[in-house]
Amino acid sequence: MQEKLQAIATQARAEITAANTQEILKQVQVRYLGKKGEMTSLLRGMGQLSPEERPLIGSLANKIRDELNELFATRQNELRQEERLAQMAKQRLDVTLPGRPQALGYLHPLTQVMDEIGEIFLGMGFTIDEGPEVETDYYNFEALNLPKDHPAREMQDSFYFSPEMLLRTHTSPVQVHTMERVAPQVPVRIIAPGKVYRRDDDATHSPMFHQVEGLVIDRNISLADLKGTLLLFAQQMFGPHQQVRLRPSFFPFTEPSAEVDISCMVCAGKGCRVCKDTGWIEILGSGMVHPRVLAMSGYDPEEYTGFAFGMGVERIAMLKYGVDDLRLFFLNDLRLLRQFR
Amino acid sequence: MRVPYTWLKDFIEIELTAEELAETLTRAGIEVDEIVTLAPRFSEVVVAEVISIDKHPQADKLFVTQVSDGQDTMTVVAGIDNIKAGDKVPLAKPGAKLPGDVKIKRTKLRGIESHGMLCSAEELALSLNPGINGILVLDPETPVGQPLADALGLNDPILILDLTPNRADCLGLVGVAKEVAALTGKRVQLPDNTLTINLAQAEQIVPKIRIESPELCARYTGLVIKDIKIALSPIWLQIRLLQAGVRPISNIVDVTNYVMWEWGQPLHAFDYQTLAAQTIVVRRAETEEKLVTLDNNERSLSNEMLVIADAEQAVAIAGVMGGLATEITDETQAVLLESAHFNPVSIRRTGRSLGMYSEAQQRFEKGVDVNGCVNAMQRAARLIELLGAGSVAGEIVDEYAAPSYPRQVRLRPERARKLLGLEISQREMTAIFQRQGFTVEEGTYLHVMVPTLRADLQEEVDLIEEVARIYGYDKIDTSLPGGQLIQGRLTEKQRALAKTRQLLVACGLNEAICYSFVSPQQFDKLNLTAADPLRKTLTIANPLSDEQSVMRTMLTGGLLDALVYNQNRNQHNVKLFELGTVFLAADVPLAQQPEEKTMLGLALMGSFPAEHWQEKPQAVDFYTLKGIVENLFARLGVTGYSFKASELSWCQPGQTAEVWLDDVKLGWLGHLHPEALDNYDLAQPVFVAELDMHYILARVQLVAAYSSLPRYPAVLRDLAVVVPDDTTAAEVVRVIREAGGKLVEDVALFDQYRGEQIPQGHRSLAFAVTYRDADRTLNDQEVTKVHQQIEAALGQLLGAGLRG
Repeated sequence: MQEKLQAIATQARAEITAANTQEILKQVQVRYLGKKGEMTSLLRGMGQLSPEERPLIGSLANKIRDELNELFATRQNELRQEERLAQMAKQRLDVTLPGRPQALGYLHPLTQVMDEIGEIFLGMGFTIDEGPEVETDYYNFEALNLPKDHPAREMQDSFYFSPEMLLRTHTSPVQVHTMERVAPQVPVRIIAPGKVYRRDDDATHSPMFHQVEGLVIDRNISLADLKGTLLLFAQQMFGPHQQVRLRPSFFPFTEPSAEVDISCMVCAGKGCRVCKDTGWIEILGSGMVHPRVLAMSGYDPEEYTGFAFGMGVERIAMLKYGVDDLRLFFLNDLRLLRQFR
Repeated sequence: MRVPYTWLKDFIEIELTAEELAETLTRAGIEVDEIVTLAPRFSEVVVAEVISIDKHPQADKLFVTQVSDGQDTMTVVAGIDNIKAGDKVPLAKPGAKLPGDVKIKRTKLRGIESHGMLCSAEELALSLNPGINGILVLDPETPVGQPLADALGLNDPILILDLTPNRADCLGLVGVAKEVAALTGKRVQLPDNTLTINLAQAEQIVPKIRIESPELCARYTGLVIKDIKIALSPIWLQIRLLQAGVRPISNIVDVTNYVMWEWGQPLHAFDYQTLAAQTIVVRRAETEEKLVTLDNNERSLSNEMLVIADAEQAVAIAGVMGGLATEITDETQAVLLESAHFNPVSIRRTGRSLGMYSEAQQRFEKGVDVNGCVNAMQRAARLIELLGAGSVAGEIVDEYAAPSYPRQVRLRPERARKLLGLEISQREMTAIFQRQGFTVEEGTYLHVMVPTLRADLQEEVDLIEEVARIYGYDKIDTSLPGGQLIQGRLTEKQRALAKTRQLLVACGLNEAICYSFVSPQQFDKLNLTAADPLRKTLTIANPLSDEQSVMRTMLTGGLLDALVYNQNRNQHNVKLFELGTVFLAADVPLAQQPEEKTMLGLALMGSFPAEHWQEKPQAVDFYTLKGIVENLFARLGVTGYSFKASELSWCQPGQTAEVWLDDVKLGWLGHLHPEALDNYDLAQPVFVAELDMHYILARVQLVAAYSSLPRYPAVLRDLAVVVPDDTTAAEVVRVIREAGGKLVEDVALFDQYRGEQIPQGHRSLAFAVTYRDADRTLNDQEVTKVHQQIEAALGQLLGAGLRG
């Protein structure tokens, strides 16, 4: 019996080693260790053994079974590894072939710029307001301290539908709508992005373009607050080293009024073609809300003051992306749109 | 406004260079666009004095001159003898370069060596008015030996101001000088222009002046100058006019322009003898009154326009242009000088309606100083006498019934400090006004007397700006608004619009922005019917072109233009969207503001994915478009929508659907009609959609309520039905849901089949039906029972056959 066991073991070891697929190995396992396997059949004859022999044989058989089980496991691992390697070798690719393209869409660069401006001002506690694009003469001009026949109306050549109705020439009428809605409550802190229209068409003017208006009203708002707010904006939009410069200017709806320059991002203020060697680039108009505008829209100018600003989105986009013709923004040329990620 | 630097120095001492002055002015809000010069186009030309002139011994038409450049005397051969000994002339020395690439060399002319050339104005490309075409005779006091460009001031810097409309005071050099005084602390020095009239009362010539329309003419001053000798102006005056950008003509006219440039006050000179009854009447034109203006055009006037008339008829359009009949000529013996103040609005309207825009008119429009009339008049009279062009014939007549006086404006220093956020002392504020020559009364408040020249300073806040402007905006600190902390965040609607954009971009669409105005022909191109309400557009009264003359009522046209643009640049796979406004007029012509709707427009063409080595490109179709719309609803949490087959004239029949949200039609989608495709020259199928975002945004649910995940398993059963072609999939789904009741969780179509075993005109639709009960595990029999109910209902209601 002992010899027979040893012989089975020897044979099984050889077959395990020889098995070269998991399939064959499985068969070998069944043949030797299965319910009807050779070990099992042989051990069935244990009954005929003497009581002294039985434990000896039993222990030997267990030892052999354990050994064989381990061999099977080891061999199986080896075979699994081999088969995986073979499988993976078959799946080898030329990884330099082009990938399958997924359709990629892009937001319009002007939207991206407006979103970024919005994000910066939202962070400063502003909300976003809006107003109609077809405006009445009152909202576009009169309520902004531009009475009929005011020479400054000619700064903005308008598209008219009737003597009283026109396409808004700036986003400033939104200021009036907002004030009329919330006066006399403070604080007011809004920006208003949107389309505006002027009768102009060349490389730096489009008859339709975008502005972002800003308005802040509260007690004790000062020109210094305007300067600080716009400095923060410029640094967020164009980089932490930006400086701003205010230059006196004239808008009928603000007094004092200021043009705002930022240091040229192309040459860092040293002077170049973009900033015409001044080191400064004009990006927006602003000022303290004119007392007459405040009063017309329901705020007592003795109690409340405020500032307002308006910036051209295309201008900022042109500076940010180095685009030299404003009209490009309205061609919707895919080759262009795809450049603004 | 062109400000010649040297000329400005007549009125104020300036220690700054032109560049520094430009920077100083710009920082104070008087923006200097650029600095230019008259840019001489010659070199090596000097001022020489003629010593002698003789005929050339060998040539009839040549002359031999001896000229001196202050150091040497040299011989120069000339072709003309409009000069005499003692004249100062331009000498181009050997080596000189003249305009037109002319190089001057030492040459022998008929045996006599010429050491250069005496030049005419034309040869030097100077726009001077020399009278005759000969050698340019310079002013007698021109320094001999100096380079001509320097002697004439051709290299003098000229500052080009880009003035804001409120600063009409800087349309004259005197006004600019006052500004410079405020900024630099130097004093303005005005020339003494007092007229001394040494004539007895009886000898004086005094014009009769009557203002009949004082509402349009606040002041009219007139002065007669006699003994007029019309001649050319001296070169220095002509050069200054050129620096100002004004063409020199002859002495009297040149003086009026010269004084306008200095004082900002336009002047006009009439030939006094041509005025009927030597009378000036300032009145409104009669209806259809005719006047031939200086440019020899007959103008038809209206009662809205102000004219200057004599006793009989209009002789000038006030402030806009003079009349031809009273123009100064070489025969003029006496002139009437006019220095007046006209209503700016009236002048602007008159100018617009006649299409005229002179320098004088511009000044009247922007507002001249009503109290500057006499100063300018005196200055002109002095200059005319100085030039020997005439002599004052009498007193100035000054019709000025309701004089304007300096305004007193109160300034509260504390208010200024608070509004500016600037610590500035009261004394500093006072000094700022005093430097400009304003009188200031100091007390608790400042009371500033603002002269009429500064019409922009009307109220306290204007003075506050003036303080900040002169003190320097850069000295103002930065701070941030204090007060109550408030939250800045997007509204629900804004967030939904942002998500809409994100979703569409994620679906591979590119965002387009098209013009809001379109061509009225667009609707024909799109194949809209004649009666389509979308044709009811707002029309721009003054469009730039017909192509951009009406406001869009739909987004499709702009998107198709963009597809064409891309197609023509070899971009054939294009998916675009636009979130934009359309303008719907309730009534045309417009009585109230139109409805402005935010629409979403979609336009697709080509294949996605496009060419790839591994698989075939997949062309977009109706279902691509529909899938995007469904994705959008899913992303925004909009439920309760449905698609209904529809017909639109710009879409292909059978591939057009309306989109409904409950009982509201919120848009459409479809396959662009082949007719429209042809009209646009589009080469492949195009799919378009428009959705009204107003309705969609009202239904957005961005934070849907959480529903717990199912705890019990679902049972899946397939169902294939054969239905007639005109039975829609939506109807089948509806029947399945209704018959299945609450156990039916989902119905998903997974196959459509036509062909073998399916009768003609029918199709098989296969659905996977998901059954689930939220509270327990369903058993097989229950499911089978419901499934059979569904099958029965399909048979009864739709005549649908089952397919095993």
